Amino acid sequence: MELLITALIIAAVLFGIGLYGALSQTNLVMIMMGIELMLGAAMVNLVAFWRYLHPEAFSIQMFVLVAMTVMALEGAVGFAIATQRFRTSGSVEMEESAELKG
Amino acid sequence: MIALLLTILGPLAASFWITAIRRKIGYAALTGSLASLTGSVLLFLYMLEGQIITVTFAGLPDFPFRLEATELSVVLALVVSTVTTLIFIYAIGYMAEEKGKLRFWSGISLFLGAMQLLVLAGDWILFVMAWEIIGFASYLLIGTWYWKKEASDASNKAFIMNRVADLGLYIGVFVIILTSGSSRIAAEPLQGISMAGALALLLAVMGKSAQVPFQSWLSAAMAGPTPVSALLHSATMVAAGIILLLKAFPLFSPDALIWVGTVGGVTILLTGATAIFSEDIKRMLAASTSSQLGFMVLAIGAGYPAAAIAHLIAHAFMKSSLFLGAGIFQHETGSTKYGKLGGAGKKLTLTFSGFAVAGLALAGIPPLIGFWSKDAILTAGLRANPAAWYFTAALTGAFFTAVYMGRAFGILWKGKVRPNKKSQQRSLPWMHTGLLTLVTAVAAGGLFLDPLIEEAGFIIPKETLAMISGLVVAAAGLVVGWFATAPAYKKRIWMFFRDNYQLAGGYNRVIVQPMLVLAKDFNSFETSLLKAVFGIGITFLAIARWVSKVIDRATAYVIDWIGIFNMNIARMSSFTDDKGIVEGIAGLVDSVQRLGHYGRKIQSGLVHRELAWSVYGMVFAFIIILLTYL
Repeated sequence: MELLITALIIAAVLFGIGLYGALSQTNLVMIMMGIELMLGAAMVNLVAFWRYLHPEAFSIQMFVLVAMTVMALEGAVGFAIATQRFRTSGSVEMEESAELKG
Repeated sequence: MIALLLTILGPLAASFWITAIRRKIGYAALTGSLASLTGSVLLFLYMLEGQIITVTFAGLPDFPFRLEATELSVVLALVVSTVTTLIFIYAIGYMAEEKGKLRFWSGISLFLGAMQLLVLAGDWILFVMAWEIIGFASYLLIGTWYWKKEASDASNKAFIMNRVADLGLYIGVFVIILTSGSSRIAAEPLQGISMAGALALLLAVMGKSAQVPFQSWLSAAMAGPTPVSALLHSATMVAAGIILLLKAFPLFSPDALIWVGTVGGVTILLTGATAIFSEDIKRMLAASTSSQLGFMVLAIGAGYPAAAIAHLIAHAFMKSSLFLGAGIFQHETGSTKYGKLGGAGKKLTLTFSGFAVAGLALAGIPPLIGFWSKDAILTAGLRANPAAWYFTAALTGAFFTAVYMGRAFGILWKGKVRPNKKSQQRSLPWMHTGLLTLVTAVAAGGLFLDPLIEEAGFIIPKETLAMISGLVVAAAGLVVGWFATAPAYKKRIWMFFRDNYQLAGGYNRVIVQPMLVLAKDFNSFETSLLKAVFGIGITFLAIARWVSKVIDRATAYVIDWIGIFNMNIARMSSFTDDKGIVEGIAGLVDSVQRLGHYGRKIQSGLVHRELAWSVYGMVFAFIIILLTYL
């Protein structure tokens, strides 16, 4: 049980760092790194719950794998947007990009 | 299973071919009957290996349809298909010179399929269906020459009388199903049926097998073509009643069997006498058929179904041979009346010898097949209780049989030969093939009867006393008949015998005429009722017209008024529309626009601020969840 709580604490700390990063940074790459950290924390939670509460339910592992795949895709799409943004305006600073504001 | 289906569906397919395609109809029917023969031979071979084939398929809820090739069914199916095939061969020759081929061949193929279905049926509902189809086929086939009044009357008579008796089958089958809870035809049922149920079944048997008092339809049915008489009205269809008795025999109580025996005995005597005084060869054979079926009913009543089966098989071969012979004589002389048939036997010696062998067999002369089966029935009579009644009835019946056969021989042989020496018939080879093969079966069948019945699971009863008395009676009867060759007996009392005991005009006077009078009365009553109803109707119509005129005016006035009122309302509302609603909508649009103006200010377009908003939302949701759980 202590191990579960340890894992949950690690996940909470990771999530907090990720949240702070995503909110405090104005660079698109940094924001995305924060988001990745938060997702990683969620997956640590999932794996911990599987391991210590329901070791017989393998569907949770599948769920983790699916989430990991989604993460990779999200990263790919996000960096593609960042690259495109850099090419058109020369920076990925989010403070400067408010063209879509109606 | 394929053999089972081939036996039943072969002829049905042939019937379909004949009605739909209308080519090569005679040969199509023959193919159908050969298919049926093949199927039943296969079934017989399977049976010899000890294999009982059963097919169950969905029927009524809780009562599945079942075809069951039991030993008895298979033997009967084999007999039916053999006789039918030979009669079909004969009929190709016979029908070549007659009209109504299409109706004849399609009907007779349908009949064969239905008959096999009846024989092989393993449950009562299927049995009833088959029973109905053969009744219908009989109606079609008697009326093959429907343009003749005699034939159409006869087909109606046969159908209506059978209908009345068939009611008994329905009641009987209901009783069986209610008693046993299952529609299956069981060889060893758990319990019998009540007296009423047994009598209801007996009624059905009396109708289909032309027992007294229903025997007159069979004489009338002779108006159909001779192959029909040979197949339906002697060999197979009328034997359906006996098959019903055989299948229901285990259900009958000893009390009910006494009734069965009584019906059989009375029929043997009365219809035997009818046959003696007939003046028409086909009617003689028809009455004889009733009488012989009476023998079978008697044997079942005596408690010996084995004797009945033996006689059923023997009779199928003997009587169909006799009919086929009679058909050839009929074509030769153009009539079936004894007065015109005199001496026909001398001209057609081959036909006559075939006819004679079959007739001697029917009279009970050894070693022909009829001797053995009649002996079995006499033995059954001797062993039954009360033996006096059963044995006397059977023995007298055997004597009558010999007398009418002897009389037929005498008339056919002794009369003057008519001038045209050479026979004009072209299709004799076909007809002779069918006839002589059947006669061979009659002559040699005695050898195979015992093993065949044993295959069916029964043993033929035998006693020396029965053999000797049967033989003596047969010989005496033949001698008496040979000398009683007047073509017609004109005295009233003999006519009474001849015309199926028509007391005071028979069914025609006792039932049909009063019914017609009653129907006429009802008709006139109904006509007057109709007139009265029409009168009332016309009066009401006038009233309705007047009322409708008044209502029309009033309604028109009221509707006008409502219309004007509505117009005023519409005018008023259009006024309010212009002023009120349009302005209201404009105000709504304006407020939405203003809301959008404020909402815009929240949007920054900056990614991290939007992220912050989503975090606020998440925290808000988290707080709500916490509050819910705390």
